Amino acid sequence: MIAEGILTAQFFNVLNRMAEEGFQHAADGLEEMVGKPLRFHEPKTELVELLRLPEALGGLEKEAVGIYLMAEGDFHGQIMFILPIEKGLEMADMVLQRDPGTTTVLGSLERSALAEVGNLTGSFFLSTIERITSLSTRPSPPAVIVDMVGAILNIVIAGSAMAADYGIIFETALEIGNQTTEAKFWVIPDTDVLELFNEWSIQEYG
Amino acid sequence: MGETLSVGLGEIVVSRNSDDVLVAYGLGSCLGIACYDDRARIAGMLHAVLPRANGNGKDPDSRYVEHGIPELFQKMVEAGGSHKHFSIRIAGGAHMLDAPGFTNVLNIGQRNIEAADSVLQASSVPVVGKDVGGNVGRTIRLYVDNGRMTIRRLGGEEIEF
Repeated sequence: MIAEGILTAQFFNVLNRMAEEGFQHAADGLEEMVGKPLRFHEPKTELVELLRLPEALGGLEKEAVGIYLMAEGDFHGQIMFILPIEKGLEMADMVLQRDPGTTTVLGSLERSALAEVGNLTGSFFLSTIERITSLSTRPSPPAVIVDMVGAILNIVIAGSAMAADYGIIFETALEIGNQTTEAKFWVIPDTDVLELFNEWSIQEYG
Repeated sequence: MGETLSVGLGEIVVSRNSDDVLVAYGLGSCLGIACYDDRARIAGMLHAVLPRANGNGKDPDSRYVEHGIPELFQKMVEAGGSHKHFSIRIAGGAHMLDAPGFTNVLNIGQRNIEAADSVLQASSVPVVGKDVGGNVGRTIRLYVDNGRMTIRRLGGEEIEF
């Protein structure tokens, strides 16, 4: 069973390494975009059974912003960058270099800005996976969704068509200047990818 | 003592405790299917995720609309209900992703609705309320005591359903 197979120290070593390097690269890319120094805080990594994600998240009725990408290639699955609506508005201010509190609605410009954040983060993250594991992967264009957390979660559950049993949650915060915004980054690889990943991590890390 | 019973993804909850309230939070493309027996005062709710199992090696269960609805009826009967006193209300099935390149994900809400229509048409249970489609999330609550039901859409107030 995959459940026993993937809960190895090697597997988490790989996830942690991917997270650290992936977010570091994403920060480098975003820094160029916003023209200010920024960093992601050290991510907290969790592996959660997909149907149990709602319990791990809580607040299913709360309004949130989701930035969604699909990963295609040897490493295939889904990526969702999710943050509470007020943090989404703050992030739009940061990326568009506006004074804090300026953005009150996510119009098309703000959504494009957030899509670009998701695009850069997802692309750098996937390129890290590709570099570390040699598994090919590339991102789809991003989609931005504003809805209840539960409804956003439905997208990854439906998108997996039950081909995935587990999701990886990276919890982090993005710091730009003196502003910080918390965000969750879900990576939902299809189950066959998790198995491949696990085999690879055991070979690599013994 | 009554409780708020959360109906999670792929779950069915049935209650005959008059103080209980069944809730499905943040339905997006998922369907919340609420069944009430007004004679026995039994309430049941299914939170279905996908229309049907499609050859991915998983056994059909209540995650799937086609299997979940008969299972909901079965659990209502086991709790003392009778088909002839059942009524159904359905909510959810939203189009969550209106963006190019996500066709499969885009269709799930609509496919869930069609699957439910097809199963329910074949049963004799009347559908007395339907709030489906659109592109926003919903939360539904079903009160065991009297079968009252409410719905709240993103950014809106809780209203009778």
